Formats: sequence, structure tokens, C-alpha cells
Amino acid sequence: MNHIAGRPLIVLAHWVSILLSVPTLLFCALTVVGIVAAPIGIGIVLLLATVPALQLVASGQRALARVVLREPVVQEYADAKGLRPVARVRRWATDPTRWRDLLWGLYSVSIGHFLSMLSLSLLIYPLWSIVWFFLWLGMPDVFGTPFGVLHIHTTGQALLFTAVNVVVSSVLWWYAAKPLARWRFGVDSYLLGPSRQVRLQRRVDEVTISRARGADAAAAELRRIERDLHDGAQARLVALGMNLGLAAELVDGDPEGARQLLLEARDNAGDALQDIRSVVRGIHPPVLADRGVVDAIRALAVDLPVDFELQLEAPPLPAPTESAVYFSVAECLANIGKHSRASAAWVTMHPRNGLLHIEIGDNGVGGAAPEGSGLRGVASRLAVFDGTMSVSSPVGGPTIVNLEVPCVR
Amino acid sequence: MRAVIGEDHALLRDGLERILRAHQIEVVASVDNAPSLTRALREERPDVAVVDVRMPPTLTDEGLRVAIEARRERPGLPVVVLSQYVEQLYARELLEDGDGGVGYLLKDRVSDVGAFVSAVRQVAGGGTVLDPDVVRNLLARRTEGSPVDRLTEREREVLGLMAEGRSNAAIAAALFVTEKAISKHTNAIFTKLDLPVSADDNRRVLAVLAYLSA
Repeated sequence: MNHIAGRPLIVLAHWVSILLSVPTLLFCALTVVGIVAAPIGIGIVLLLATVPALQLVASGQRALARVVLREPVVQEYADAKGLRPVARVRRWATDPTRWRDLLWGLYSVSIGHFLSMLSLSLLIYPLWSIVWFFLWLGMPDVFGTPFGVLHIHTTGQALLFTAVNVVVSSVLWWYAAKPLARWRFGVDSYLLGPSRQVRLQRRVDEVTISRARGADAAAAELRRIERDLHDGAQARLVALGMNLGLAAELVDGDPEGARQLLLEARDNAGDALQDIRSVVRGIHPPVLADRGVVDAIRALAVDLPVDFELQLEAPPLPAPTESAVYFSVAECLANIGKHSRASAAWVTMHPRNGLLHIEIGDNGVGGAAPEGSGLRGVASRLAVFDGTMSVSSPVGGPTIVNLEVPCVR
Repeated sequence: MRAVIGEDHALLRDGLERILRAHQIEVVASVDNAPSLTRALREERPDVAVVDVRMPPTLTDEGLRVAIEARRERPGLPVVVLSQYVEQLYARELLEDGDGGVGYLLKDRVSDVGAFVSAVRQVAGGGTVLDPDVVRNLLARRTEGSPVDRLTEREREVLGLMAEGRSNAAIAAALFVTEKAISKHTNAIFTKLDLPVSADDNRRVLAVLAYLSA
């Protein structure tokens, strides 16, 4: 459950909601009239005015729901700009969002209005009780029967009654304020936000894009590995073969030359092995395989010529996620090594609320571009796992990269 | 003999130069990218070019395309293409013009220095030399009931060696039989495959290859 706004803000939001419900009622009623009267033309004219007006109050309520629930409430309407009046009304009629607005209007002026009133009443009732007490003192005959069943005869009774009212109502309001706000603005947000279908559609779009980017990243990775092997180990082994072949030819006629070639061949073999090692490390670092992401990142930091402060803690992650996290951090650390000119840097990693938060920062010159190929690669690597990246790198530093990856087991 | 080398790895370029020079083949130009190779082939007009398939700028099949282009300008320009991988497609593109003077070898073969140098000489002389791997693939791809199935085991061996570009004498040496026996085999092969018999080694090889890659 996310944190709802504080009580003062809630009270304010209820007030504004109640004020808004007046124009809401008006525009809803007129819209309904317009819909009914649309076939005879006059309704179209009416709708041209009331539908945008309704959108206006709905947007106001959206802002309130955003403030209270502390979560985005955004809605997209079907684009009807530049259409002729009749076509515009037709476009509105086929836009589910507009109908949801109308539905919200009906809710807002009835149940929503009631919930807001209830909340405010509980808040105002203690004040009213105190006012009542003084009224009773002045005119006990008139005010002696609150609720029509109680009969207050003495000042002590009146005082007790007031005290009970103040305490009970205040306590009730205190505990009910947040749940009531959650209902009232929750339904607002549900009706004024994107429908489930739209949300799913968006999610599918996101997933499609991230999957494509992930596939591209994987393909690029494979090309890189192929090229590394081709240009590195394979070429060196071929050279090794050449040297051995030449040495075999020279062994009788020019033993010294052959010896030189054999020594060169030995170096070729060593270099080829180094190349293969570095390719393997690029595919899946042995440290990562042996000891997990925390030690693997530690191993990366050790290699850098910068003072590092590390605070790392990670839950057990699925291997693909772990690998993505590792390579993302590796890319950021490589950037620090290459571009930052920093003297100190830090990496923190800790899980919170099902998200693994990672921060990589340095005190260098700043000016890192999230659009650069390296950081873009990090973003697409993480996107596959629904992770996100944000970069803050003003010129002059510091550079801070924040990564978040869901780590629900 | 004058050779041009096109190879982007310094290590291998040096190795190739060393090998050719050690065998009295003059290296007149040694370049590491496609445009320079095109220029070197035009200006130096070498007797043979030894070219890596993959070269800058694109690091794809640049070397191969330069070689094919150069042979279009100068038909029969002898080219030995070296590759880390055997690609039937590349071999076929090289052989397509039917002018001979083509070699397509795995880079590993260079370590058999003697064989490599003799392949270079053979190509320079207008012969055709294919890597045994290419030939093996060509032979393996034959479908059921193809005329190749009508060949005896020994004839198929001879066909393979022939496709590698070896002369009758070399085939005879490899199989420890007389040259006469080999020419009997080759005649039988050509008859069974309906190929025109030719005395010219290279014509023969090209005919076989054309047949195999049809």
C-alpha cells in the first residue's frame, strides 16, 4: 500500500472536490441532455460545449487524486482536434474515455460527494458540538433535544454530551480520514485513469519494445563475441600455425631461425589463451559464476584506478537478472574509468520493496550522456527485466547513475 | 613471381609475407583494407593475390568482393582467398566466372607451409585449388540417386582430390598408385558424370566443380 497524503491535504482535497461537484453536476446533466437531444441537432451544439467542460472538471479531479494518492492519474483522450463539429462529437461518442468521464461525473456528484461530505462532517462535528453547547446554554428549550431522542436537562449533561461528541467524532475522523480518502479518490482515479484494457495495451507495448531492444542487445552481444574470437584467438592460432610450419621448414637449414619462430609461436599460444579468457569473461565472468553479483562488482572495482566506496547487498537473483545487473554496473564503472577523471566513486546496492536499487556515482567531470551507446545499452539490458535507469550528470559532476530492477523472488 | 597480400591482422600479414619471401615469391604490396587492396591490384598487377575474406572497412566479406571485382576488370587474375570459415557460397561466387586461377583455403592450411606455397603457385599458374573442407561439403551435399552415387569408393576419393585442384600426378602420389591408374579413374568418373573429358587440369577441375555445385 503506497503512502497516502497527510490529513491536512486530504481535508483540502475534499473541500475542493465538493466545490467541483457543483459544475460537475451541471455539465453532467447538460451532457446527458445533449446526448438525448443529439438526433435533433441542438444536442450537438450543446455537447460541443459540455464535453470539453466536463473534461476540464475531470482534469481538476485528476489533479486532486494525484495529490492525495501520490500516484500518477493520467488519461489520454482520442484526438478530435481539427475535426468538423459533427465529426468531433462522433469521435467523442466512440471514445471510451469520454464515457468514463461521464460515469465519473455521476459517481462524483453522488457517492463521491457523499464520502467527501462524510469525512468533512466528522471533522466539523466536534466544532458544532461546542457551538451547540453554547446554544443550549442560551436556549435550552430549543436545543435540549439533539437527535430528537436525547433530553438534556442539566449543564453537566450538556457538558458530558459535548465532550463525548468531541472525543468520539474526532477519534472517528482521525481513523476514518485516510480510508475514506482512499475510497473516494481511489474510485476517482479508477474512473479517470486509463481503463484496464488501455493499461494492458500499454504494458504490451512496453514489453514489445523492451523485448525488441533486448533481442537487439543480445544479437549485438553475439556479434561482438564472434568478432572478438575471430580477430583475437582465432587469428593468433592461425599465426601460431604459420610460425610452427615455417619453423618445421627451417629446422634443418637454420636452427636458430627455427628457434626464434618456435618462441614466437609459444607467445602466440599464450596470447590466444588470454584472448579466449577475456572473451569468456565477457560472456560470463568466472567471479560472477562462482560468488555472485556482489563479489563480482567488488572484483570490478578493485581493477579501477579510483578510490571506491562499496555498500553492496543483494538478494538471491535469477541468473539472467544477475548477469544484466552485473554488466550494467560494469558498463558504468568502465565509463568512470574511461571518461570521468574522478578521484573517488561509490556503488551502493540494496533491495527495498521488491526492487533492487543500485547507485553508481563519481566525483568526476560529469557530462555523461544517457543517449550514448554504452548507457543506452544499459537501459535496454535492464528494460528486458522491467528495470529502469536514470542518469544525473551535470557538467562539472558529480555523475550519479541510478538503476532499479525488480527482484521479487 | 610477384604477390599482393590483403590481410588486416598485422600478425598474419607478417606471417604470410615471411612465408612467401622464404619461398622466393616477391611481396610487392601488403595492405590491410579493401580500398588499398583494390588500388594495389590495379597498380601492381601482381601474378597472384592472397586475400583475407574479412577486411575493413566493413569487416564482412570485403576481401572477397574486392577479389571478384578485380577479376571482372582483369579476367583470370589469380586470387587465393583465405578465410577462418568455409563458406560454400563464397567458394561458388569465386568460381562463378569459370576463368580458373582461384584458390579458396582455410587460414589453418597456411601452417602446412609447403602445401600452401604450392597452392599459391598453382593458382598463379591458372589452376584452381579448393580447401578439402569445401570439397567434402560439396560431395556430402549430393542427394540420393545422384550420379555421384554411381561412383565407386575409390572414384569418389579421386573426385575429391581432383576438386581440391590436384594434378593427376599429385593424386597418384596421395593414393599410392600409378598415374596411369588415376587417369583410368578420371576417365571413368567423367563418363559416369557425363562431363566432357579434357586434358587440361584446370578445365577438368572446373567441370567437376560446376557439376558438384550445380
